[in-house]
Amino acid sequence: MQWLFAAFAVVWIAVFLYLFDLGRKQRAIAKEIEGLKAKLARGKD
Amino acid sequence: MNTTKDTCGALLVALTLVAMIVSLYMAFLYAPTEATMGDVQRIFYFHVPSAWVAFFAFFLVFVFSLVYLVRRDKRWDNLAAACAEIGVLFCTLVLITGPIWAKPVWGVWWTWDARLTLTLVLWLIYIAYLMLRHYMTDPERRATFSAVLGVVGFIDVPLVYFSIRWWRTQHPQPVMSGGENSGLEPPMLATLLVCLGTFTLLFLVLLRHRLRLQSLREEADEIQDRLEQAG
Repeated sequence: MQWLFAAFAVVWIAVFLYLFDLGRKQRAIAKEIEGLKAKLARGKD
Repeated sequence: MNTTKDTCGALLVALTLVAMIVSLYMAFLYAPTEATMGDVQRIFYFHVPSAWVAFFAFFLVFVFSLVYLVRRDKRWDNLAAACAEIGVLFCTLVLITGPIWAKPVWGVWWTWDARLTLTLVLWLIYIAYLMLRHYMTDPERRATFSAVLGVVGFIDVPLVYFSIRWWRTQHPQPVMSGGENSGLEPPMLATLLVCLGTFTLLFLVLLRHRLRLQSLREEADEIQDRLEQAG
């Protein structure tokens, strides 16, 4: 039974880690975009 | 437009979560225990769908790469890159769950039979694809080179699929359309089909998030370019 749980755990942990990583990268780029937009607005002023 | 997209996305996530719960129920409780292998056979319900998603993702890489080579539109390149990344994730899961099943059943983690070896080669091809994309800086050259690799690399997918029919392998023979003495009990087949559907939904959810990341990256690069031009 431990083999079965090991396999299932690996699948779901890997999928959720990948999703978490995508979310983390999205948040980081969204923050970067905000900063760049603010810089651009300051440049126009 | 964005609201419709968000609603579709939320529905897709909700549907995937429900499908995941149903899949877990069916794989652990509904499907009968296999007579010779016992409970460890249930790994099959996640191992086979992982392989299906990997093959499907690599097929999409092949199609999008071909379209990119014809049209030279970077949207196709982005789609191919996203599918390759997800394909590698699921191919990795195939290569991990397979040995976890093999150890108690065969007594060894790994054997160099045709199916296993070709799957490892497939994984290495798409790892090379991702490395190529990571290290090549010129966007046009990167897109062209990776599209060529995406087309050529796909040759290994049918080889992996048919390897257990063409050669004598230690890997189990196909359970569907495998000729005489193949096939699954109806509850096992139903469980496998539900798990295949669930993993396909999961692929769509991941693809949607991966493409969103790509579009954010492009937006950031575009603003950066505007800033450089202004400054």
